[in-house]
Amino acid sequence: MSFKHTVVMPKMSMTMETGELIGFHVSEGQEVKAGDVLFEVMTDKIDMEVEAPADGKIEKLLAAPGAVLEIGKPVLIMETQTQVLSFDFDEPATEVSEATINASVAEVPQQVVTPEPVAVTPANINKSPKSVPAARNLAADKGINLQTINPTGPSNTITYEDVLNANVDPAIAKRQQANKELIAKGIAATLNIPQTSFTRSINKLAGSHAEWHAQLLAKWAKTLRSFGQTEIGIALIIESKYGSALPVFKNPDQLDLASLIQLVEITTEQAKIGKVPLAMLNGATSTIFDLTSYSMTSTKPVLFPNQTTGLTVGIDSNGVLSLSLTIDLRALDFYDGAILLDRLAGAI
Amino acid sequence: MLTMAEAVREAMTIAMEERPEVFLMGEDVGVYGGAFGVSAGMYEKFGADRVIDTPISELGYIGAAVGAALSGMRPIAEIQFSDFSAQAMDQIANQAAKIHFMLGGALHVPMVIRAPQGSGTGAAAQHSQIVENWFTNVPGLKVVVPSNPADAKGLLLSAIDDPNPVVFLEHKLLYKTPGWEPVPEGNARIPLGVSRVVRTGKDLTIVATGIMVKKSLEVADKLSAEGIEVTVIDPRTISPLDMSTTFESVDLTGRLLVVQEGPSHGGFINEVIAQVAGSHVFGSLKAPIKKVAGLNIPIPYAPQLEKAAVPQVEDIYAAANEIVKTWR
Repeated sequence: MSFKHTVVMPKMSMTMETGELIGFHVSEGQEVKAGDVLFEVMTDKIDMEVEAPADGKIEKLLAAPGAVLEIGKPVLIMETQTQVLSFDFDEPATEVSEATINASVAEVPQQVVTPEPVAVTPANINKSPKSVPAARNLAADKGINLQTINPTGPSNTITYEDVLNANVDPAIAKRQQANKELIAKGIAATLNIPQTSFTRSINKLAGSHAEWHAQLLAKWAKTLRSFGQTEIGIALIIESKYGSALPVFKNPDQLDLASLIQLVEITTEQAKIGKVPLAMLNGATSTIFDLTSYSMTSTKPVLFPNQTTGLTVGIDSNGVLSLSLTIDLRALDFYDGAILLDRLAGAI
Repeated sequence: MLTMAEAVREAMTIAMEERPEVFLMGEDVGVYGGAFGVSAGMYEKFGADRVIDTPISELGYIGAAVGAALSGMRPIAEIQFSDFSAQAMDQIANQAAKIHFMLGGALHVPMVIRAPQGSGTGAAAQHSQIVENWFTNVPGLKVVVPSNPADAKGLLLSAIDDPNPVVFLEHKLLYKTPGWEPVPEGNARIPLGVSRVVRTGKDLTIVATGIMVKKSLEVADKLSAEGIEVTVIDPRTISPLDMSTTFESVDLTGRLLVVQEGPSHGGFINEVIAQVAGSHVFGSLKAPIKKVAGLNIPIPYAPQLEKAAVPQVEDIYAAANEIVKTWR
């Protein structure tokens, strides 16, 4: 299965509203690699090359060179095999109908990409190198292709240490780096926003990982809604082999819990292998970073662009949860932040 | 420090003092004090009614023990060499193990069969076998294989308490040796079906019972001096078999070596291997699972051949070394 990914006019500075499309470096039908330059943009401050976020094929060029486009306007559509991480640099939509929300949530499971089944033939069985189970698992975690490893074990078998010492697949390393840069760029953009943080301790909810995340998403959304927010998108940070993935759960408090748990399960599984459904790539108004599986706490959540809150959940050695909240002081005042966190703690 | 023989005697003595229905029977267990001296002094202490010398008929007195257990007693029947349990197999496998199940749970068979097993005494093929495997394939029996005096005492007390028939197999070479820790005073029980982590290390997991625990600990010491840290797990009862600590340990070390004195073909180690290979920790394996076991031959009489037929410290060391050093 493939995706259609729309590459838009990016927001490259805090003051940028429009950009001029200088010209394309690709043509329709052309195959591109992640990192290849797609087009150049000129703004009031800088000129910049916009790169392909993933391997794929250019399907359609949507704008003409010389055109001045608002940020977020489509420039080209490309077809990719893998899903692309992004988050909003543009303003979130002000009005989204109930139908749209439901449709986007309902579509999600269908948009999840499953790998193409590969026919098992004697030829490609032999192609798979021999390796011990722990080596295979480690390679999968690190995003290393076993074919690239020189086996040192008996009978040409790849050992655990072979994988430990191996380098990450350059294609994956590149994506990891791009991912880091994208996130760093986002955080850098919010650094100068006046903000403050709060922390509070509570007892943990019982249940599986997915149940816990579903409850957290629903309760946080409900808390934000009680504060007058209507269109809520919560990004949940998930560690993938390509780096952090941030699937956005739209209005999670409006789904029944069983469906939400299922959605969290499927999304987490897919995100871990670097696939986030298109409908969940943007629209975040808040971000949750859950540290409880690492048994640590962090008291300073970050703010992503165009989000007014960021939430971090940690756990100490006594099993006590700590909720930390950072707020954008332009949108919420100190008192609002304290009440928000208090309401969330109460809900949990 | 008590030896294994003394610890077993202490457990039997405590149980007989605690409950009047416990008694000991077997060939030469009374006046002579047992072929290996395990029951020395008990005849004098408890008298001929509770320490009973039986005729040389394993089928006869094991049958009598089953009958006594069914009528409310708690017999401990010693078989002089576990090899001779073959004589009594119908009573053990078809009667003792099955009665509770065939009578819908109406009756219990609370009896213990104690017997020495294993090679190393130059007693040839009919007096040197490891027979634990004969019993692990009979559901309804519990099988205990203690590795040291302290465990032997607590496990035997639990075996006597148990409402089911328990086969308790002591290695004859361990009778005269103290363990690595003092035998606790008092009547504390060690539950059946709970394995013990005897030593902890991050590089390799060894699972062994009986005398092979002692040999594995020697190997662990030797490897530790070379910078390789070994976990040694003693399941203590092989029926039921507690795998939980083995799973946890293999998850951590990624390498498993199983050791038994009995012939390679069959035996509890094969169950350990099968369970690990089919478990959630399969994905943690960094090396093929390896076993060190006895040869599939009757135990030879010639001392050099007898030694060569069962695992020695050097064999366990070589296998452990190969797993850790070849499979990094």
